[in-house]
Amino acid sequence: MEMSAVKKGLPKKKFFNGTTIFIIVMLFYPVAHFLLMWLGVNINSILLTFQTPVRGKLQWLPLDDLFFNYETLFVSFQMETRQSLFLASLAYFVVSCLVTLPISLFFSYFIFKKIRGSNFFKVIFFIPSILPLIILTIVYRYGIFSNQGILSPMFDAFGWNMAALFIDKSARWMVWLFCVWAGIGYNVILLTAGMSRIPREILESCKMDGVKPMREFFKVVIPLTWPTITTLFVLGMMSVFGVFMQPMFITQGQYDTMTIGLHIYQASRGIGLNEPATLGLFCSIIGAPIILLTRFLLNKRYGDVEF
Amino acid sequence: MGMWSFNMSALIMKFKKIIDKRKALREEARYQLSHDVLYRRSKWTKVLFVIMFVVFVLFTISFLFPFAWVLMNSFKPHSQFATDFMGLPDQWTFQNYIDAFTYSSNATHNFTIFQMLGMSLVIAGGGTIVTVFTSSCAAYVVAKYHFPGRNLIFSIAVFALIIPIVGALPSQIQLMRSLNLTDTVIGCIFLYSGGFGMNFLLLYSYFKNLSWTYVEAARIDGASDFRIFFKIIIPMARGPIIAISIIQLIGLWNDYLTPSIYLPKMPTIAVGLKYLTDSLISGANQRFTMLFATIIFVMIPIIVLFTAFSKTIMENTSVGGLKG
Repeated sequence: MEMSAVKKGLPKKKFFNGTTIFIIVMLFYPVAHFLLMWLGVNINSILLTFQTPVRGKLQWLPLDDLFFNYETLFVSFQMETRQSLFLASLAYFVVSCLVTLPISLFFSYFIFKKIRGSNFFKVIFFIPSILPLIILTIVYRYGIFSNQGILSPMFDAFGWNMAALFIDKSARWMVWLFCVWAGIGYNVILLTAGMSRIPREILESCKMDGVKPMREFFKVVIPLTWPTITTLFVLGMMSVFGVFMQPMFITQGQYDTMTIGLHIYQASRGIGLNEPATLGLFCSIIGAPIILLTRFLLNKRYGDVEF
Repeated sequence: MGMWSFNMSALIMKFKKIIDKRKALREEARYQLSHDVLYRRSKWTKVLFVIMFVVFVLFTISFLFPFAWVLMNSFKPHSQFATDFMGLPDQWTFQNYIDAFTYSSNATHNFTIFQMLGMSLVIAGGGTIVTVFTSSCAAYVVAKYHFPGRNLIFSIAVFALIIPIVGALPSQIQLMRSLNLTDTVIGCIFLYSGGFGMNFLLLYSYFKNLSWTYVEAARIDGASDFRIFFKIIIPMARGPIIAISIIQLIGLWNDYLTPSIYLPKMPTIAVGLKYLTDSLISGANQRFTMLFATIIFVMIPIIVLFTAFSKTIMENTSVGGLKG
């Protein structure tokens, strides 16, 4: 069906014919934007790690001290705050991949099996995706878990102070709880869409064979939804480096809730761009192969799902 | 008056017809479901489904109840909220909304909520138009034209989506500063205007499967490539382009990262809400009820958009996902 517009019906000898100009014009902006904002930015990211701020301006490091930023970064690993930063960020792997994703999978199965009110519940699962995160955090922080919030009468009955939940050690739990609460919806949307593509014949033959729901869930639905699960797992892994708004809006990054993403976001607003760039590059070098390897291994688990 | 009442009764009849039709469709769907072998459940399975139904109801309450609480308290005088935050308003008041419409301070860079909404409209609307257009251009050419480097462009577009890069932000900021694009609306739209990304892939797969017959016919009639693209292809791809645009619009409307960094003094609604929260909740002069009124007001356009395009949004989000 598809034909080459350049080859067919147009003179070949003339290099700059109408179609060539059309292709150049149509691709010029997207390619230029990509080269500048993706390739250029990432190359510049590497260059930034060899610069340092001098009198408010970034300047190249001397050759004998070229790796100063990296040395500083490695020294900072011994600091308690930096260790806490990495631990707090790694926790999002557990929150996203090992808590939110399995719960979402389970929820999606029941939506897929058309639990009563499934269409209505689907709309509810959409709420976190269509509202700005700041609204969700305000409602969570002040509408549910505050001394004036809807849970306060219950907490008062036990003599607990709701405001204390966002201080000290419980603060990080409150951020994680928010991530699960708000994150389930997004996963469920994608997973139910993945499940809806499972051929009816397969499910019918399961039914005929008397396969129990949980067996069907683990042996049929999960393998056939594997590509979506893999994508969400990889996105969950990337959240280790990317999460920044949730801790910023809920705890302002206090009480050991500072993440790599939030640190880079805050540090990038100053002059010393070399420090967050070095940390980011280090995380990319460590994180990218792990994430890509995980993706490769997960994809191999059930092979390509085609139906 | 007579004419008006006639129109009203016609309108009511029309609504009644729509409701009846929906009811009939619902009943038909329920009947089909109850007779579908796929959804016939054993006793223990039914128990499991009842337990999960309760879990889903609790989850739903956890979302709806706080918003209902916010809505209720937005109509309450602040003095009452301070002492009674669970009861219905003693006197229902719109004062919180009136205050929210006119409120501005140093914390919001003297922007009122309407100005923030205007900024969101310009940034998200402009960004959506430009990025969907550039994605369409790139996807169409890469999908339908054979030229050197075509496969390379496609591979790089996919690679850029897969490879997880951390901390490109400092470099991006430096570049934007050197281009003098910080603190400008154009700069923000420029950042959104990329032609490669998820939109590119979705449109690429659409164009790839698009019939080429019309184009061949137009070409025989002597139409140029530009004319074919704008007069035939874009109208043919109207459905997916609209769907992608709506999802992109919601994503950019909710985006916090880009405007908070590149337009901090001209806040969009997502950024402005953060400023308002910090301003209205911190310190001694707390105004929770006004913040709640602001939240409800800000949610209205999103709810209207979602209600109007719920089918499009729900069907297409599952393919591309939302950002922000």
